[in-house]
Amino acid sequence: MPEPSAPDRTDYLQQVADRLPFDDAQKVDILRELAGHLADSTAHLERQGLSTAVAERAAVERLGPAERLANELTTARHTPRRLLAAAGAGTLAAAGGVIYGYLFAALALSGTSIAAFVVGSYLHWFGPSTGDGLDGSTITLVALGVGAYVAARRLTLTVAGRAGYHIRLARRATALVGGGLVLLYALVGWRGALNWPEVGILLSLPAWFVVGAWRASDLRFPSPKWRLQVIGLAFVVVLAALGLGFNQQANGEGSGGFHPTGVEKLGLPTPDAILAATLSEGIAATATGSTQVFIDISDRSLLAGWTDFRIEAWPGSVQAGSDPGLAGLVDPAAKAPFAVEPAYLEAGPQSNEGGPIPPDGAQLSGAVTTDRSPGVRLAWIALTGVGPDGHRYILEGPSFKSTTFNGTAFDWLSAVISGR
Amino acid sequence: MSRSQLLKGTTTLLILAVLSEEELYGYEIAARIRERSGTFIDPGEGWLYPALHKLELDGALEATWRESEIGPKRRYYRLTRKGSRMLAAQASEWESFARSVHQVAGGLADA
Repeated sequence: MPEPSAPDRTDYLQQVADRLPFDDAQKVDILRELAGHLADSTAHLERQGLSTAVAERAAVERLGPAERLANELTTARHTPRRLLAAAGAGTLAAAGGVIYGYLFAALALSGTSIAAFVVGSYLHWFGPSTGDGLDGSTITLVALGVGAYVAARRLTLTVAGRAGYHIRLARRATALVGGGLVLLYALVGWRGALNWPEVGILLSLPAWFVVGAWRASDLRFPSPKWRLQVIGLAFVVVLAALGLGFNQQANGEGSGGFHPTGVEKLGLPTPDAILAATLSEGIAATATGSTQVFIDISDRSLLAGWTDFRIEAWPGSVQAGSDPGLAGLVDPAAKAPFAVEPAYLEAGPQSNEGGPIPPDGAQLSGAVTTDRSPGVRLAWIALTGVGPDGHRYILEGPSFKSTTFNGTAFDWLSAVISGR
Repeated sequence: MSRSQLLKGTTTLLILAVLSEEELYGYEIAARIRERSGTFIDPGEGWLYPALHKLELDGALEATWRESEIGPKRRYYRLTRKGSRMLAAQASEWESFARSVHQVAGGLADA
């Protein structure tokens, strides 16, 4: 079987070029050098008496197969220093990409939101609760998604170009490693008040990144078409946010003698003797975000035989726009409190309100955290205990408190899985 | 052992040695090695450019595009200070190695 003939000089250089994973400038440099070498080598062989065609083929053969030469040229550039430099340049490019993408998307979203608000208000589209535009966290998260997309594109292109890896390999590596890091950030790195659309956007950040890495190409980026796409996305997000009413928050907190519908689920009314002996009572938010409930009583013997004192938080609901203290109800579907913590009876020298507690008196207090349950927007909080007759009584409250989930996406998922 | 196998371990030394005298471009480097070795070392040139580029990235060589005597621009390579140190170290190592090999196997060719 005859040996396959060597390709001519142009074909050979094209075959080498096709296999080099470098940017255009580097490729041109390498190909110019190889073309010069082939010209010199051909001229030398011609001087030895070979015809031009034969000399050219011989010169190509002396350089070896195009694939092997391209592989060796590529491998020669895979030095640790080069990889390190590429990683550094890639990190800088990614950081710049996050900032660019974030600012561009945040501006587009804010601008769209303001425009929608102005137009909507003029046309009386919205009620007052959605009138002031998108929630800041939502804008931030969507803008971060765009930032992750731009960062992944820039990171992939920079690493591929600087380290001399083929774009396909760089895409896979960037998507896998970067996507994993972004997922980690999405799960535990972002902490704050979250609602379910925000958790959805947060958990989509790795997808934004992976799509960005996968779409990395040598095309100029960001292109005008890309900018239009982001502005289009901003319109969709703003309209979706307005439609879902992201900005509707519950209505503060309060305490006092409100008795929501369904209060009997919490326990029987406070016994008159304890009511009469109560010196002071209160519900207050603590610095750690939990809610403390206390009562000071003048005669602790009234609580002799009582057990299982605890602070309970029950899910509540309220008609939109109404005062939960007047129109609130304990969630009819709720069969148990969503958060429970023990309360403690202590003989204290001083009440929470600063006044002294008599020697026979005591303070009953505890605290409960209500911002770890994704589905709860309104909580009814009460201090309860089991009396000597075996029935549970309400000793203080209930008081309403609007609440928003506060934590990481991982906390959110854990809470949903555990049914909180 | 084939010549190409012997060449693999000495590529860097050969390149650095011919460049220690003057700046040369790729084809000239290959030609100079071929001439100096009396065409004994003439395995083709596919090994040359990967080795040159690696030495350049390692900081042992510097390269510049310049007009050549025969016309078109060529990429000339020049030894850096690091390259000179590398050449001295490799030459010394090669001397020791060659002497040791000769002590063990010298004269066998005449036997």
